[in-house]
Amino acid sequence: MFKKINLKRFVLTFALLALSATILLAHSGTKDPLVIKRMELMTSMAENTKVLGQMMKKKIAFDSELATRALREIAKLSKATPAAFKVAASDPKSEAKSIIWDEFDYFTDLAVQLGDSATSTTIKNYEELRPALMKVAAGCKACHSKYRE
Amino acid sequence: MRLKAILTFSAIGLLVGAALILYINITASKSFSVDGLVLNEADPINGSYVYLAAGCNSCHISEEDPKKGYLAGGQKFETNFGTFVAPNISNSNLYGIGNWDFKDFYGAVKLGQNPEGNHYFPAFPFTSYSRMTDQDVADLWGFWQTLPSVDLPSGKHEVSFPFNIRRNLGIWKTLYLQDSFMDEKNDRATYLVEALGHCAECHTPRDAIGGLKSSQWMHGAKNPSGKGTVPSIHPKDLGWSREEIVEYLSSGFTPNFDVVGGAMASVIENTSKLELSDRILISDYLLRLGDK
Repeated sequence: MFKKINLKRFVLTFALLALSATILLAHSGTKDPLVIKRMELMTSMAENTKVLGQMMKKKIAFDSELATRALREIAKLSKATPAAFKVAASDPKSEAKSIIWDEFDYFTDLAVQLGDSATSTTIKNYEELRPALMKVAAGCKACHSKYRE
Repeated sequence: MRLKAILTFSAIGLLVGAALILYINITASKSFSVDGLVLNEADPINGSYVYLAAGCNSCHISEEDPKKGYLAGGQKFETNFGTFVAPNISNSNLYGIGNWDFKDFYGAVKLGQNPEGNHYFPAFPFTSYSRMTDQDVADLWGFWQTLPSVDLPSGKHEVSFPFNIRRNLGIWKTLYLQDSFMDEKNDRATYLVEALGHCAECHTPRDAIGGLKSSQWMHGAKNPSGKGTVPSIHPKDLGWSREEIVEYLSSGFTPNFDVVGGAMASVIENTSKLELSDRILISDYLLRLGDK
């Protein structure tokens, strides 16, 4: 134990010295309107997903019409996503990866796929809620896993 | 005067010699044998489960591999020490680990060293995997034999001096590689989180030389890539219920129905396929961190 503590101190000191030249960049809180618009779009998407989620958790009563409306809204927002991201804007607050603009066609495909999937899905009864929600989750994940920090 | 100089030089020589011997000892790879291990016949079905829980594919999946998902490597991990590139660990004889035997695999997973006796960089989370049971390692190896090979060459790490000297990692291992668990309960929940899931590797901050700060266990960390943070999953910060954690591990939905992204997405892809009872155990482990 004695040996380990001394050794640790030695290595730590050495490493600290070696890393002393490392510059830590502090993120500023810039607010790009394009980024804000993107974030709002994603927030709206989450809010509509939350309607379905709360219904599934029985925190709000099941309502086929409300659920379908949320799905259609998700579809609309998904299809609006490529336009919202068309201009490459970065912001320290943003979680969007720059690879989006290197692979914008694929990014667009994923957004359109989620839109199509949400358009073609119906929720007539409570049992259809979870499968529908999982389809939405799969669509979101496909994009988030690649293009979100 | 002359005698004093001779004595001084001799003393310095002895000190340097002793330091050198100590360095050689500490930094040497471990010699070991798997002959004495008490193991049942490898069970590839359990091995496939261990593979999921340990998330091997999360880091070693290759975008360039046309088949996808077969451990051809290539993902880059940017850190303060340089950029690490996940190697090809498919069964390719040419580029992967197709020529390995169980001992080689055991040495990699449990001791963090390759068959030639060189230390792995801890970007490979052997500090967690070292806590894996011998039987799980054997079962995982059994499952590995069922995986295809992908003939894609591994990329080279871009690590700066002095961190690129693998031998020095022996010192690092002396400091940080240990068999014991952080959680005293040491039950299956502990095993799932600390050994297989290796959650702490990302969710616990690291010190200046990359060791986990155990005093801030699961309290979140800087993203090694330099952008943003890996969130705290300590219950005092997370504030999620058991049901909410289980839902997240099952579907990727947060309590606010945001959907998982980034590196965590592939983790959820794996946890969603675990037994529900194991997802509950992972949740229980995280919640009991708040008891301390």
